[in-house]
Amino acid sequence: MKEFFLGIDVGSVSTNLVLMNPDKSVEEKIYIRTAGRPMDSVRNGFLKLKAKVGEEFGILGAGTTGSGRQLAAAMTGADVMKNEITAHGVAALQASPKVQTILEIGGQDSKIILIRDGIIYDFAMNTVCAAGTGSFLDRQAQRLNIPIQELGHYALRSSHPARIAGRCAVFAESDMIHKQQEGQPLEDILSGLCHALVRNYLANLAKGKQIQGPVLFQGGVAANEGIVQAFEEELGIPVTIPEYYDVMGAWGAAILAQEQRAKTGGTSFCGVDAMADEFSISSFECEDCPNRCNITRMQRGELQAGCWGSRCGKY
Amino acid sequence: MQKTVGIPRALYYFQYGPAWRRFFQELDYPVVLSSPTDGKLIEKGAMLSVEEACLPIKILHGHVAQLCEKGVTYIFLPRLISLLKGSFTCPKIAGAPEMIQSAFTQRPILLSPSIRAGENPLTACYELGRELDRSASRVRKAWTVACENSGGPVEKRDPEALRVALLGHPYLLYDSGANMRLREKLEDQKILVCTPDEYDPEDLRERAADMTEKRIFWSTGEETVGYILALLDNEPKPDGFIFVTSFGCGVDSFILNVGQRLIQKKSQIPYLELSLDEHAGEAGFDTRIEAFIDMLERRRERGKSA
Repeated sequence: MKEFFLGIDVGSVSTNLVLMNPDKSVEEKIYIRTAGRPMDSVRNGFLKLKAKVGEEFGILGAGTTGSGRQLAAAMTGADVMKNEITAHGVAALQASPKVQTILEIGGQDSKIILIRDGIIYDFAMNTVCAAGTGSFLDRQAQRLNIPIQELGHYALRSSHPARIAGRCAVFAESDMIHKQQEGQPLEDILSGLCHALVRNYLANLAKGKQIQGPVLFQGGVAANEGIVQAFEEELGIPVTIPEYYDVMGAWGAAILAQEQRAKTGGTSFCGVDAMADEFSISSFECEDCPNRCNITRMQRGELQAGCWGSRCGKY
Repeated sequence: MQKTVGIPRALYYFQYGPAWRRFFQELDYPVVLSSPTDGKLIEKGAMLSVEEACLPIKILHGHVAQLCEKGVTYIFLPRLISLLKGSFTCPKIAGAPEMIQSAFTQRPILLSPSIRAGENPLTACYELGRELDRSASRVRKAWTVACENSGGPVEKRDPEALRVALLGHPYLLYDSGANMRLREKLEDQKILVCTPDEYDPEDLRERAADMTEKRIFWSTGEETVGYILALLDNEPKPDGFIFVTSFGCGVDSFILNVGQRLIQKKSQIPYLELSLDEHAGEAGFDTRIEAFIDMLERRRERGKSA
């Protein structure tokens, strides 16, 4: 029977799962939209992966990452739960051991990670603003009625990118509408949008950081050729898209799970069959003190699978 | 009924609170403190204050509201204009008494003497004495006692622990309700947390003044820059810096940049910026802290094996 490590990355926009072989190569991967239902997407994602493998297999260890990592860890009994920075860094080092800079743009956050001598040396993450992230592109694609996958192709056909202000998603949108009403071609506006996003990213995150090659670009937005081209033009060095660019976080989580197994010798994973179980979730506001924490409870049938959200540790 | 002085546990309370409390106690006015910042208080403060205010000002409104409910006779909210000679607080801090006046029409009497570094602090004390019906000699004595009792406690420290220095305004660094328990979260991870209050503000001011051609206008900004310089000059150096700021802070829009450049110019020490507002999600905040500590640990391991 085959045995894998499982990595799960529950992001704001997508949920990604990876089955990794003990030699750290990716056996199967899946990228699905979270669509506001992280538990369903983890469960469905796993069942689809299982179908893809097509034969019985065992899980040697599981790791979770992403903003929904706690939820996913509670569901699966994961061995390790790590932040996205560490997970992305670890996966990038596996994909390209000489990597020096990682650009990562996800649904609601973006980050830059600098690697020196094989370790994460420095990083930055966007603040509250979503102007430089995938959600912003998504929203514009929707407004223009273009499938998000097509947005990059449009941008590549432009010869004179329009100048769009990328500081703020709201102003960028009004800028785009203004250009569109002036009669500028859609291709130029979209190319301008890609450049604006990249400039905003570099101004916010890369401020004062030395971007050296090799540069890897990962996260869902790396599928957009318009953004890739804009990065290469702004940075003046080639940008590489790793093969598994869209599931790097999940892959990193699987690698971290393997590291964890090397330490503990076992796994707390719930088991392949238990992944089909239905979960129910409930939440309430604790009124025992003025902090009014939002407590979330997860149940597998009658049993409590997890509980979090309290500041004091009562739950 | 005995008259009481309420002090909001906000803004510069975190720097001068012990001295203030002692001063009023010496004048035989019992001091009533608002309770530490919590989620409900922040929510209330945000509702009462003007929309554009920063998180610390919204928090102040919450504390004042609570003191009003407690029924104190006076609320002590000094008008802090300048804390170090030649530098100033931001307009929101200096204007805090006015904001409170307009937000709370029904309220206890505000005690808001103006404080300007370089002026004799006794002038403000005498003003308080007149309001509180205490003689000049008594006020003078109370002030002397208060000044002697402003030192903070000294803690034991583990020299092997990772050291992280916190930068930013005192009302963000020392208010764990405002900073989502940053200090506790770091200490839970066995991190040794360093803060600017370990240094004499005058020393920090001089260090900052030596670096720049012109004095930095804002007191906290000057202290922050001086603190960074002091840490980079002394051993052991911190393993990381965390700059805590509130969204929309005018002073920090400038100092964040100066601080980051200074750190990067003079060292290889990692730097993390954490921005706070009343909507800030704790998950995103924790992710950044966790990733930062992970990085510091991996860097240290690497340093040891090299």
